[in-house]
Amino acid sequence: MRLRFPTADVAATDEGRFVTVQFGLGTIGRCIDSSLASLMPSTMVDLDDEWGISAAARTNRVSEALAVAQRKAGPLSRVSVIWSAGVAGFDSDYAETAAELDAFRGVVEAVRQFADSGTGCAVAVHLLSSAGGLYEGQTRVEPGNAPDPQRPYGQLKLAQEAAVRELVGGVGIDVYRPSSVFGSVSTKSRQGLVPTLVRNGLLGRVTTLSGAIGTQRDYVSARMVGRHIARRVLSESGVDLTISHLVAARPHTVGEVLRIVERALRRRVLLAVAPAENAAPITFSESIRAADFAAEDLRVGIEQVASEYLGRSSLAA
Amino acid sequence: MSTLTITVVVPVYSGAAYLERLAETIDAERAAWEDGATPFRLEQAVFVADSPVDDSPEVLERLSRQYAWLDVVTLARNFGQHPATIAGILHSSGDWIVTLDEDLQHRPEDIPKLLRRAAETSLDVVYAQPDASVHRGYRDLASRVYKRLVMSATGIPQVGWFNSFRLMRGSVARAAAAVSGHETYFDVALTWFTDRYGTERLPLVDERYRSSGRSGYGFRSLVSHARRMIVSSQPKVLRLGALIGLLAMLIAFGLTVVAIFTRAVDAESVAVRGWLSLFVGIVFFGGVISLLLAVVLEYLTNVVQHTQGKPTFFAVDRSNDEMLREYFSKRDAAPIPDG
Repeated sequence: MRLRFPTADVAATDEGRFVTVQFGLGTIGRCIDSSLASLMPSTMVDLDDEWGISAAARTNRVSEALAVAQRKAGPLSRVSVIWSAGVAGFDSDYAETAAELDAFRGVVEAVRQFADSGTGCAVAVHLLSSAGGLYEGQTRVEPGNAPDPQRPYGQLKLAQEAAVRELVGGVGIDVYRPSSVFGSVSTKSRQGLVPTLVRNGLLGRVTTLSGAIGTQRDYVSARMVGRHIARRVLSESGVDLTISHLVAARPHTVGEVLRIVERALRRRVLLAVAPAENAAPITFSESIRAADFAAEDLRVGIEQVASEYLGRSSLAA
Repeated sequence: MSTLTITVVVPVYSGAAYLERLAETIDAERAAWEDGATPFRLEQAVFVADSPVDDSPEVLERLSRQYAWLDVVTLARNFGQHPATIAGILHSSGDWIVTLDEDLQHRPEDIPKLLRRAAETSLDVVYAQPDASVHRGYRDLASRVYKRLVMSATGIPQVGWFNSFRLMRGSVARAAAAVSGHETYFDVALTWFTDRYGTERLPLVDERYRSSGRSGYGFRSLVSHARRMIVSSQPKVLRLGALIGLLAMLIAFGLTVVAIFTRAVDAESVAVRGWLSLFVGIVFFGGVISLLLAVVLEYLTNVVQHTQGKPTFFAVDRSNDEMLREYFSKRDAAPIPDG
């Protein structure tokens, strides 16, 4: 759990008495955090946040964290809680997703208690959901399409959205539904197709793809998603519910991604294909894309991932 | 029964006068398919604005607000018809993709005919072929001669069928579009992924040419098309070069035998000494150079095609074709309603 406060000179103003409480510093979480840091002169405090604790224990943790925030920044004018945490993925089972839902409900309860405590502080929750999980198997998803999760992960995201909707009225709620997100090459967090291809391509390893070479997905870079969410976090929000689809509205086949990675690396990338259930395309129409979301060209994003990893690799060498 | 999706791709350069009618026709056809409970539906139409020279962007903007299924892709500059088509295909998500010209030369009503032809024998690409003259007199003749020449140079038998009104299996079209570079001829790239081609005879009329005398295919663009087709393919002319080189070497060898024999048997009959030796030398080394050049160019072609993305193999799923075959056979068997 990371608390981020404006630096002293900014905090001296009413607008500056603002704190963000962020859960999860994975691929997207890191990008949100770094964007927040670059957009707002701030300091941060990391607090312990074990994953396996009960919802009630988590509620207490969050309440304590908010108390810490108030001690450090004084009476707060605004609190933004960002949920970018999660260990569940597309292949997770119900046991895994249930634990994550429980953890999120603990946070929602803490937010409810804080909002009801009569501090006069504006509270906002920013939930990172998943367009891929919610619309799996649907093509050219438009505003009229209803989420229809096909597996536990999508059902978890829908349940999280339902849980956060219960706060509507007293709390500003932003739900973000990004499509397939790719970020920097990392050995720690769960990797998507793009960083895996970049890493294995440079190491000369074979990448085994579960799906099909023609499987279509909509890819957005974690950097752009992080920047968008950070801007929303820092902007004044009301007490409405806003759902933003952070999609590129431009499908790419795995074959096309492979080709772009090969061009970026200037070498052949070895790929083995293992047929899998999740080969169905998931694509989005332009009309559903959040109007203020700028999705960059996938070629640019992949070039950046590749050059960043090449830079890090050469530094390490 | 699941429904197959169709994406229509239309590159736009100077079609402001036709776009509204084209969109209306597509919409009518879309509604007819839905009313007819067909196993296919028009999911989207991607209009690619290739830096148009007329009011097309404004018209497209208005049409995209009017029709939810209409997507507009705006290219940053004028890239040409093939790159625009490729951009549209890469924005598509349909099981089948149809490319149409902007000027109503290709009728959306004919799409089921192409689909039916594809389903009959599980084809991956079906080109529309005009059932009558598209242009007037000499232009059609010139077009046939041109295609025959390019076919001979590239060694691709389907060149004669290449046409911008085509139906393609989505996975094949997207794979070909994904590997196409700026100099790749898209239809040649399609031949890297499939050999299941077919044609369907349809009434095609170049309305723009008939009414204005202008055509999208001037002399320069035809030369450019031919050049890109040859660059994208493995030209047969290289092998012809190698053959000529080899032949020259054999001729030189034969002449050498003749020269030695003549010298040995009847040296006095040689009026000019050294001439034949010089000729043989030139022919022989000319042949060697031609042969080596052809070999080098063959290597170079292989490298270029590898770089362009010619695949080692490509897998395709044709399992849904049965559904289309059933639909078309039932439709044909149904009695024709009176009136």
